[in-house]
Amino acid sequence: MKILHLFYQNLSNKNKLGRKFLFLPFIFLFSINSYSQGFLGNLKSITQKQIEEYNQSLNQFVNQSFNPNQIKNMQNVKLSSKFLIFLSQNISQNYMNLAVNDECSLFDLLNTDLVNFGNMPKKMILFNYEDINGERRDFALELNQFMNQIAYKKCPNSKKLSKYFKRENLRKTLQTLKLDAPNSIESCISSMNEFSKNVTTPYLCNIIEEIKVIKEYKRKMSILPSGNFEEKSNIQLKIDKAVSYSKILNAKAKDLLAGRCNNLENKKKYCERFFKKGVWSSLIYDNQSFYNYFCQNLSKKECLKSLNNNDHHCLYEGITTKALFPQPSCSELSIALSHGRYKSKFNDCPGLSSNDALTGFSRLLAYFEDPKIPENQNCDISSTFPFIKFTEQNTEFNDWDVQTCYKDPLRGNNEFCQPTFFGDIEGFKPSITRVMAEIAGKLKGFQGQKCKMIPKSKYKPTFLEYKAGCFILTPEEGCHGSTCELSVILDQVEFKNYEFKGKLNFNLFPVDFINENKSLIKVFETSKNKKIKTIKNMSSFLLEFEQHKNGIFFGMGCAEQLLPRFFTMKTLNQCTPTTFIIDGFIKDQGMYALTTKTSFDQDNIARIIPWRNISASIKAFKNKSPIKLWGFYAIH
Amino acid sequence: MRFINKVLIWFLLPTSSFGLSELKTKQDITKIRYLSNNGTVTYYQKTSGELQMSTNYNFKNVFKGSKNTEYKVIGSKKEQRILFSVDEQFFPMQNALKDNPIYVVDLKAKNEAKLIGLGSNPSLHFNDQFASFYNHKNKEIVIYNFANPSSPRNIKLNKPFPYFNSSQIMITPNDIIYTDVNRNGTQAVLLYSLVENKFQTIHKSSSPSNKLEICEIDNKLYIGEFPQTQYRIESQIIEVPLFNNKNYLNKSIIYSSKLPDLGQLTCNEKELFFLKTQNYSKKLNLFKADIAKIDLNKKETIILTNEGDFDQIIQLGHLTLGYRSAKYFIIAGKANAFSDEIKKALK
Repeated sequence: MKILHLFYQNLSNKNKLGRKFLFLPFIFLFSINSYSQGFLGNLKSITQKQIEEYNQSLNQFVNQSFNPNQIKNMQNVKLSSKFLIFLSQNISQNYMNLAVNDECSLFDLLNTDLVNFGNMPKKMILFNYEDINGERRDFALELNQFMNQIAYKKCPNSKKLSKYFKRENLRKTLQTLKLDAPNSIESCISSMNEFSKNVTTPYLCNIIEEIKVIKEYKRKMSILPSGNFEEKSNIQLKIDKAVSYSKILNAKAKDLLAGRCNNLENKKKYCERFFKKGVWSSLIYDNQSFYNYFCQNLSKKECLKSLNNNDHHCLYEGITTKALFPQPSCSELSIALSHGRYKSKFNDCPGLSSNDALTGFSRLLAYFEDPKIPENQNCDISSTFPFIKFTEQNTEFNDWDVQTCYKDPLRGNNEFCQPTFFGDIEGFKPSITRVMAEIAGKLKGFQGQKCKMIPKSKYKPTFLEYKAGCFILTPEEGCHGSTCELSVILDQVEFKNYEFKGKLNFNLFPVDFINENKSLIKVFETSKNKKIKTIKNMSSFLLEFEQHKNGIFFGMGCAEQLLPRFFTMKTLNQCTPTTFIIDGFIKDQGMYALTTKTSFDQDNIARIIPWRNISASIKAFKNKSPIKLWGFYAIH
Repeated sequence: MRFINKVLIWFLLPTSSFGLSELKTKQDITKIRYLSNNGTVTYYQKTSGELQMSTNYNFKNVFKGSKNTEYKVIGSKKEQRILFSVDEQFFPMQNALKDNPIYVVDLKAKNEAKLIGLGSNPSLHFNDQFASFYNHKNKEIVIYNFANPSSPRNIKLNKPFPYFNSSQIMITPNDIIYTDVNRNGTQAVLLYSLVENKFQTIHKSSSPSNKLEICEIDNKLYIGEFPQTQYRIESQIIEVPLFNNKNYLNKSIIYSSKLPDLGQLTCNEKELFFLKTQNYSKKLNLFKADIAKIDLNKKETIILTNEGDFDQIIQLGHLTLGYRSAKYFIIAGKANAFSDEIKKALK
């Protein structure tokens, strides 16, 4: 693939200008075809005549030999305009897009079966060259001869490329092919643009076209008279080839390639359609957290059907109700998610995190680095675990002030405290299961490495498995980030010799200039080596969004301006702070809305919020900030 | 049932916001938390953490919190008392579900601020004889009777959704009207009798994506039903007589719109105000909202502004304010903040 990539770069750099010039009549023809419907009738009659002339002109070259040494300068060999006109009538408009990059791309296209030579007995290419005496001459060669004697000499890399797609090398070549389903309309259009320029595309689309007609070949086979062995054998060869192609590509790759190949002409429409219908499918099948959140009691098929047909499905659905409700309707949500580049990695529950800034900051951390949260954990862990890991690595738990404290009679009844988080992560020392086991060990001689964490309702003291050991019983609604109304049972007796202390207090954004570098966003910037740039208007947002494809936007504002349908002001200057992540935008008639994940919403939810509300929200929070901070950043 | 669908627009006033005055104050307006009805007393917070009350050329500390403490100050039309909540962890502990200490100041007695409980969204009721607030931890509305402070009453809410904000209105010393939501997301307006400990449903929202907002004028309850998502986008305001109305079956729609109004229903003694969406782009979720008034005598809806970008309406005692682009505009009532008259110094 690397070689292919280099090859493509070479193509782009070397042959562009001359080839485009050569190709101009061809492009011109299609420009007219596309835009002048009234003129098209006349044009068609002209081209039909020219095609007939083309076929006739080929006859004079049949059985004539050609000496390539007669060509004075290979770079001056040009495809005949008659051939280009013929070509224009024998290739779908969709694939024509693949030929307009440069002349070599046209040769690549000719190497596939995407060009239909119709009933011509031989695939003949008519071209024009300057002989050694300086005279311009026409000649026609069979396709294979033309490729070897002319095309590959002009575009040596086309020869290499064709080898990669020979049947014997195909499996190896396709194994290097990386096809990712786009995660937003923007990334879809971008990958479609790249796809239409990629030198491998004619070959890939050719494979798709071959696979597409397997059924048709089989039907033909079934109706052929029994004695027609030659025809049958030809069709069988085609079927075998197509079936072998089909086996190399998996279903998802075939779907994606077919979608791209069939829509080279309508990239935007295809992407919009893909996301309107495909966003749910891609989320349900590729994102387990999304499926778990929205369709816990439905099969994937039922889930898909419900999301597509029941707009209200998304309003209140969710494994937890610990977030802002109602959520957007399904149609609204699908649009928001299809425009965003943030892919949810977990199910969190903002209502339990204790600090809205923690919810937002943990998502920011997770966007750049997968927190690897083990499965089957309570949803509150999704916010607290990435955060405590960050504070462990960067501030020695200075910003994590939740501790379990106990008095040790062996050490003068002095109080000792340990950083604690209310989860059970294997090998992670602050896990409450390990902290509690250690304290129980010191105070009650408990021997185990860790206690077992279970919901209160599942604890059955009469069961044998609960007769001995240390059990942490968690409340049904789950723990909060900084508190947990849990109880500890040690060998069937409640253990109470501990106390939770502290709160999740930290400054995400600076509140004074002296301690500016201690704010978490600054620690994040330096420790994670990220670039953070203040965004003050829509123009700079768009510039950053385009320049940094993996960048994301993070801000803090007042909910009363951001979500005025949910948060109302009862008094002057009321502000409910919220952090938010912005990962995409929608433009309509010169106005913009941004796809936004607020710290009140569950991680899988994005809302479409107009830029006007976002900037008003940031402005309102700026008025609260002691240092008048405009808290909206591009981060990459 | 009478239907108001007649909307009058004041096209004649050429200036911005149809000539509405911007609220001007002597202090930095971002620091101000409350203005008294006569405009002579201002409550404002300081970065150093104090909540202060000032009149012309004089001030008094109401509360001393730590640096960057954030206050919310709530008054009423009667202005017998002032409630305020204290958030000393506004920056380091951002939590919309935080229960903050709520204090009361008796304006007549001029005594010290007194703690009445922990919660959010406090309001004064029934000639300031009662206060109510919501306690997130216990999921209950607390009703505090100033005449009997030792026995506050509680109403447990369904409230399965943590960010749902309940509104309350006391219509008698024994009856409170409030909003709640069930697990399916349907909001309801309920009446709770503190004497009988009984509930009665007054109205249920027509869609699970709609919010309900309430206001009371002259023994009539007004319920605004406004959408919160694109699932259903119609809006309406309903009038319900509170007395001589068995099971509250007598209801009439006094306003409706096919567009998703922002709502924020608020009222003074005789008029209803809300944010009416004039234009709506579904694609961008962009609404152009202006302040509208319903004149209940004439049964007319009147558009008071033309800017199209109002976010909030606040009822500050007698003063109705519209919020737009970090500025406040006076919608109804008088603000006498310009008076330089020297008053008697405060004790």
